[in-house]
Amino acid sequence: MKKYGQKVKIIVVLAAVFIFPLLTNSYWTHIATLAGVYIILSLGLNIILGFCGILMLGYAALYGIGAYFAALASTNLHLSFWLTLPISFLATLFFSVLAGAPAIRLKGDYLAIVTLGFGEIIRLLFNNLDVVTNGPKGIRGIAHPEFFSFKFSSPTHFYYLVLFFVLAIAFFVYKLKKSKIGKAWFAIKEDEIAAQSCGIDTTYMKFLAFAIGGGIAGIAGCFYAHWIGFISPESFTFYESVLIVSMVVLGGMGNIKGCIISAIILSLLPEVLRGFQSYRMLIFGALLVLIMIFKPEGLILKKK
Amino acid sequence: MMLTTKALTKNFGGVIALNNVDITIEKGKIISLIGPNGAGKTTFFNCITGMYPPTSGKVYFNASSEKNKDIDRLKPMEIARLGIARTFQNIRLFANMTCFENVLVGKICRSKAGLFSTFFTDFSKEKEISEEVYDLLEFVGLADVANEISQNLPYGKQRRLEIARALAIKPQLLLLDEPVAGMNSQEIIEVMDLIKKIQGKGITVFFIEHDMKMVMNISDKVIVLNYGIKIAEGPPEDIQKNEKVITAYLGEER
Repeated sequence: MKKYGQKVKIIVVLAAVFIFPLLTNSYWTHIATLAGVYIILSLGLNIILGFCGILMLGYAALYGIGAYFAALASTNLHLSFWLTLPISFLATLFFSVLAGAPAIRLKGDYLAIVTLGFGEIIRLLFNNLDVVTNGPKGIRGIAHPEFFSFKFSSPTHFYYLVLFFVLAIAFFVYKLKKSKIGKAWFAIKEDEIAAQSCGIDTTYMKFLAFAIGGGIAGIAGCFYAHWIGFISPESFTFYESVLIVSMVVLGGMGNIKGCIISAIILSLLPEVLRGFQSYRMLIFGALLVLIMIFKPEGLILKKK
Repeated sequence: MMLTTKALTKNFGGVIALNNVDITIEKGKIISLIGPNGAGKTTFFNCITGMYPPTSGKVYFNASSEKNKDIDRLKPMEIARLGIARTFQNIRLFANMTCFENVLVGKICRSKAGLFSTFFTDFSKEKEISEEVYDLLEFVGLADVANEISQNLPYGKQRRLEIARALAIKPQLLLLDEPVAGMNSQEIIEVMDLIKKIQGKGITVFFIEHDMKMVMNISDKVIVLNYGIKIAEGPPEDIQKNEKVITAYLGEER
């Protein structure tokens, strides 16, 4: 009976998600698509931070790398979205493993500083490597995705495209969590020394977390670039990294459903609060503090 | 020989924690390591399991005369895979995972855990593994709490869960660091039975313990460390009479 109720709930939620653009206007569809990008990002960081317990403070830089590779491949080489997607994925995966190399040996504060440094280095490269990235002016004119003769152009189109990625990646991450790899990651998060003494190759497992988590950021970046059509270093700042970390933490570290819900809440809140104008971010911050006080283990508690 | 150390030495700066320790662990035996606090017992375990690289000396595992396998430069993960499992003095469980999951983690290194198998689950294999995990929990007497979060267990059960997790990696040699510390006499008897059952499975057990009743009761051989030096080695009866051991524990007679 309980299992049955669970299924009904999933179907109702999925149905609501599918008909969402028909019920609202293009503005909210656009916002929902942005929320979708953040869901993908928080799912990716969830692997590194939530599953494996590595505090990665430079995740927005990986998102940016995905976006920049897509933008450059699209504007210079005129590659389609379906070709820039694997390019972004692999490039971001590579840079993520590169960022992981020094980070893997460190813990706590030191780890946070190294990943923070990585994020800043990449952002400064976006800003100052004018020859490649066009500096603060950013890159414009990134082509919209096409699927055979169908051109993605309206907010509704992009909503369904991001929905496809969200569902696929959520399923992928869910399967990972349930797998032996997922169990090994959780073991590393709980106690690294005990995990080693159980014969788990902790170095390899951490690199794997960086690779997969990074690759997912690349997918989000690629989608973002082709959707908005314009990217600049401003979109990939430390603030973004912190926002994504907040989503994972509020979701309850490693909880997939929780991180999806908190990604939606945290990306919609600033829009909902627009009525408060300049007090918007103040209220946003206050709400974050309140959530942390009253729900320190995340918005959704794991059933124990 | 299951395990042999040759002149194993470990320095921490100027402190000599282990000083030219030679021991042999015979296959299929229960062997205990005793000594006053700070004698270097846990350091010795850490050197064998690769947690600390020894300063000098050698550790051989499963060595035969023609081909010696020294393991003193291997990583803890590699040593575990060779078949040396251990528990820790201050219990190191995966606190927020269930008992079942704790033991399952021990099984990971003995099964394929690639990305491929993540998406194409071999259900018969999965079932086999989960049966093995339940068997192990049954073996240590924790089958009824398989789905409890491990940090919620009472202390004695946590210790036994840690043993089950160590057994999950299918070891030939099991190292236990103070397996009955803080237990009452009833629980100690249970752990002694468990250790004998483990020996019955053909697994060699090497343990550190302060509880002399237990040491004298189940050990085939006792090794005594004091200030990083091996001062005695032999059957429990001989150790009880050994002058050096008595001096190390009680001090010299004036």
